[in-house]
Amino acid sequence: MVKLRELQVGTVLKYEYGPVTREGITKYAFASGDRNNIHTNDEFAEAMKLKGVIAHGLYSFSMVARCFDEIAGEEGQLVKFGGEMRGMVRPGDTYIITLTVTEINGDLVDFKFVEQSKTPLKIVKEGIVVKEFEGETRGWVSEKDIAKDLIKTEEVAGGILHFRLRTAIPGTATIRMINGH
Amino acid sequence: MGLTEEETKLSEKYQFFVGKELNKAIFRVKGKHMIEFAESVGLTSPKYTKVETGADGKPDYSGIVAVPTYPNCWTVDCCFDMVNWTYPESANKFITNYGKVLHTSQFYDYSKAEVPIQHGQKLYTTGILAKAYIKADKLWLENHLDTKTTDGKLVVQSRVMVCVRQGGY
Repeated sequence: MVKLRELQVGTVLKYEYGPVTREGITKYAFASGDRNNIHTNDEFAEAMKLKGVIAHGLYSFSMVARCFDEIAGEEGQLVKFGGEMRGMVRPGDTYIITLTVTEINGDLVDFKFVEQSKTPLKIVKEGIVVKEFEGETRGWVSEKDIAKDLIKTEEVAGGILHFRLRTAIPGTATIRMINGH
Repeated sequence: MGLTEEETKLSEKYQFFVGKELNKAIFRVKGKHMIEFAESVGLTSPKYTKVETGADGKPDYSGIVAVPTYPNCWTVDCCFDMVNWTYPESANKFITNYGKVLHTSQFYDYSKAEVPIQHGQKLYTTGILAKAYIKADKLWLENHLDTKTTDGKLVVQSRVMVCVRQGGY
């Protein structure tokens, strides 16, 4: 557990949440009131040329708030935060959020963050594809992703996982430390 | 913003709308809904979800506050009011194709908040289109919003950026 008062300028923290599920997106759709079918209905999203449902940008944004809330705990309060929604996030993706402390000024701690989405594509063992994920079967990887070198690999149980790692939301945040802690 | 000379010139047309007020949104905060929202984004801390039982045996939500992204529930809708705006001389629409509108960024500022968001409040959100400009063939629209309680206490300030792709403006 990270202690807010122990953070220093330059401290880097990493959080992972996921995988994103259709049920989770639908739950958010009902809670937030944004029930646009591109988030909840695969057929509709396909018709909109989206290759399946996508998570709400503000759902992904809320995941960032989640990690700042963990850091703030009872010692602090998230007072400012914002980000640009750049990349679509889909079911099966995992959020990877990297935070860096950029300034500590009195009771205010400033951060910059990058939320990335990790999209699993396939597992390859000895040259043979042993598992394909939705990202592969639905063609979620674009030529642009390949050109930008966003396709990565890592060893997992069962072979080598091929995945796309793409920026979903970069942004900034400020936590105010609460007196008495 | 770093606009080119041509983008600055193209942006002039849209300055007519800068400063225009967005539709006022009214949102009633209900404890049960606050909890549903918190749980939907994985925030299960007692400060957001722990409900006591009141003396009358009913749930007492007075001890919880809304999660920081709760304003997601109303801020974007306020901004999409712009799709109904028209130019006064021609009655032509400001945004001609709603399908070309993208929500591109969101910013919340609680630093000047006078009270937290809690069950039972009736919240009023007012705002303006603060900036409008053309950049990289897209129309960028920055909206500034204030959300206050019935007695005028600020709960959050928001900045919502939307962009309209070519063919939509």
